[in-house]
Amino acid sequence: MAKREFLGGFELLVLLALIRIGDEAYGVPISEAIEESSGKEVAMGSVYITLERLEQKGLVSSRLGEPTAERGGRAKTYFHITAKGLREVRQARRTLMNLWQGVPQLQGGAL
Amino acid sequence: MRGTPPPRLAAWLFERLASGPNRESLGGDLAEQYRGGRSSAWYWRQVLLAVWASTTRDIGGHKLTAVRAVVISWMFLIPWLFFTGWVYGSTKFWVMETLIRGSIGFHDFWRFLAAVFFMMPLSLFLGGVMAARQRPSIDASGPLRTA
Repeated sequence: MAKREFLGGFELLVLLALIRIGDEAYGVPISEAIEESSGKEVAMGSVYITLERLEQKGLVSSRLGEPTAERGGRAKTYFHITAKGLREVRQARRTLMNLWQGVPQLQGGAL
Repeated sequence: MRGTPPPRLAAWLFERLASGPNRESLGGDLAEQYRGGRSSAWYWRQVLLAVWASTTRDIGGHKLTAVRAVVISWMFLIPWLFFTGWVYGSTKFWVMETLIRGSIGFHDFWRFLAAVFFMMPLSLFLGGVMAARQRPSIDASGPLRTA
């Protein structure tokens, strides 16, 4: 069996948020998307550290935007999922679905 | 949209202590969210978490340098501890000796503790600076965070 690194839980959330948001994905909408879906406050520092790690793995690419006054003159960094990142998300979904199926405790809607 | 800037002290701490290639963008995101209506408590919490996250990331990425910084810090701290112990009346293991025998007064003991706690962050800072000087790639705010 091929030895490969699995995506972490938070890494997967960040990648899914990137896919949902598309070209306008930067720190604020990414953290808002995760907060809305999870119902928990997200530390933006952790989002950026995760994005940096994903970029090092080649799963995400970034580009610098223009600075704006409402951000105190600081530029946005836009993130985009790469083809490799998309493959990793698909693989993670397959793995999770395989494990999900046939587990009686997870059948039905009750948590 | 709120017109006031984020809490000044929190923003200052972020500028001095947070690190990483996306620090500017993160600072901009925090300012944008604050101006968008997030509370001061939220801003403070995010700043402290960002500093904590970048510090642990830096230490994890430079384990050998972190160990070197701790060793160098203790090289500063241990002579200082013996010096303060000697000044406040004990030449052996100063705390236990003075507490058990009671050879040091209550006020002297607190002065001794104050001297130790004065030196502790200073020695950590010096240790961090000396360790970081051997690795120019390390962010300059690292020693301050360590202290």
